[in-house]
Amino acid sequence: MLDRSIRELHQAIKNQEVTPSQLVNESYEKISQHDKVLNSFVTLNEERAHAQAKSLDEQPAKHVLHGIPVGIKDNIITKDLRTTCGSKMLADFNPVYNATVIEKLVAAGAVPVGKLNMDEFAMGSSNETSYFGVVRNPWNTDYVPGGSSGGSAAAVAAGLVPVALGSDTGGSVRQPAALTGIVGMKPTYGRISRYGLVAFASSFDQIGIFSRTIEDNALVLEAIAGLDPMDNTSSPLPVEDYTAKIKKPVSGMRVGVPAEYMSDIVTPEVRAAVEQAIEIYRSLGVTVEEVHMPHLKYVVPAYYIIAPSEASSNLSRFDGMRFGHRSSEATDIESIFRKSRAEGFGDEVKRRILIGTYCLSAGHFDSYYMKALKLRTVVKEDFDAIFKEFDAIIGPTTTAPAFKIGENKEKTIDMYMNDILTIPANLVGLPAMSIPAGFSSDGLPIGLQLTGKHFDEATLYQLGHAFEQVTDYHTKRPTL
Amino acid sequence: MLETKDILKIGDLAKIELDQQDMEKVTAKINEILHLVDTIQELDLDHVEPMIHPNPLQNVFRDDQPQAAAELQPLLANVPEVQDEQIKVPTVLKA
Repeated sequence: MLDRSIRELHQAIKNQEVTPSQLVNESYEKISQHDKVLNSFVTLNEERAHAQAKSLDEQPAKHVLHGIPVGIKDNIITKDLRTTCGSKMLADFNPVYNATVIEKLVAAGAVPVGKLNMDEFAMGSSNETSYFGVVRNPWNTDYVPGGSSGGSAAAVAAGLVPVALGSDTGGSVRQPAALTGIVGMKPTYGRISRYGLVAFASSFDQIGIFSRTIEDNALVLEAIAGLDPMDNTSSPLPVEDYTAKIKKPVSGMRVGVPAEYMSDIVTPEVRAAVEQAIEIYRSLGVTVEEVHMPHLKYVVPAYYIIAPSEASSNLSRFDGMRFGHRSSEATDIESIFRKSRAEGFGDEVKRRILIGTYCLSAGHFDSYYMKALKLRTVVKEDFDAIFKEFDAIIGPTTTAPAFKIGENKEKTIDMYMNDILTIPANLVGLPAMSIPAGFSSDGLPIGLQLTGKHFDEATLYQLGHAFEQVTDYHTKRPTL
Repeated sequence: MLETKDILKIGDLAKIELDQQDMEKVTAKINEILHLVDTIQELDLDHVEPMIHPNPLQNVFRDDQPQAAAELQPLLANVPEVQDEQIKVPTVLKA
């Protein structure tokens, strides 16, 4: 059953062909069959999920998400359900409240089945920095699923859950979606409340959605987006009826392809997949023209100044005092801080805290942090110039398909450069989405990235849906 | 180029005890990353305004509303060491 779309599942529940309990049972069966290998879940919510489903069995299915099993990235807090952020620091942490997105999902009748593995504190592009072990790509288990939301991507691609939530600070929803052949939407900064999302880089972080189809994705966004009094950066703009808009024809739309996105930073196979997508859009009556992102070269450096700077501040809360890991070696207050953080954080997290601390320290603040903030303005101007003439931007999501587990682990700079095509949207807060757009010669998925104007998720869904109607990449499933 | 003593000082500021044995590797990695981010120094951005945040933000006000406070027991359940419903830490003031 879980292979069907959310709308089909909803209809089946309404027709009494299936119950929420049966769907939840199916999800756990699939998890027990496949997740020993994939390692996408860190914590299961079995007892409560079964109880919630049982209660939903007795109620009319008013909302389209009624009875739909969902997976939750483990940096989105869940009341009384362990939330680890993929870190030893929070290995035993049980939140005392729910994130707003959890409240909204549960109110709609969706059933959180468990918490999904991730790079530690969302810092990574391969899911190899998790304290709970690497996640494997369902398409080939020797390969990474991408990161940092690697567990969310692998679980949806493998069909363990129809949809999952992730978070995207520099590409952490779109990159793993591309590498596992599914849809990954990072909405506009402020579209979804961040209340209860453990902060990494607060001016970039945004909760995003993994699904197999555009419509499933839009249905979840409709349910969880909107203003939240608990997050002052959430937007008061009304949430659109995305699913009503997706079926509108795309003929007459104008789309730009940055020449820099198609340069030799991307592999020939990825470029060929995007070129084919361009031809498909042209055949649908979309005007596709070359545009320029002249400062692309500087987005990774700017990101690796700002994100670690914000992280070094945000992660100062993990001090071994009120929650989280406390070193048993500590002898005084100062050593609680120093030893608990040394033991609780992994190497990549420490590295980024050190970089951020350095960039914010006296004498370096202006030349690093302020300068990087100025680059954001410049990149925004580059986007503004394109969006004066175009409805959206398309290009590759990643420079290459998935790489082998361990292959890039010591190549920090190569790993950072992986994010070059996804970071621009985070710097400026734009909505961006990856959709399945082909396969490499060795059968690994390739993603097409669509970037839109602020709060124009509707156009991205519309373009994505039109592509889905004339291609079959989204119907392909990995052999497990 | 940062030296090991510089990294140790940053570790002090960040309150992370660094393993002396790893310092060579840590220093090399940090320098590699700083070399990457230093690319930004090529640009002259003196006359550009910084963007602190992606959304134009203004103060958001609301009326105070009394709400139930979080329950004590679940909060204390996450505390590493508790005594008499208090967070226990090593002695701060020495006699």
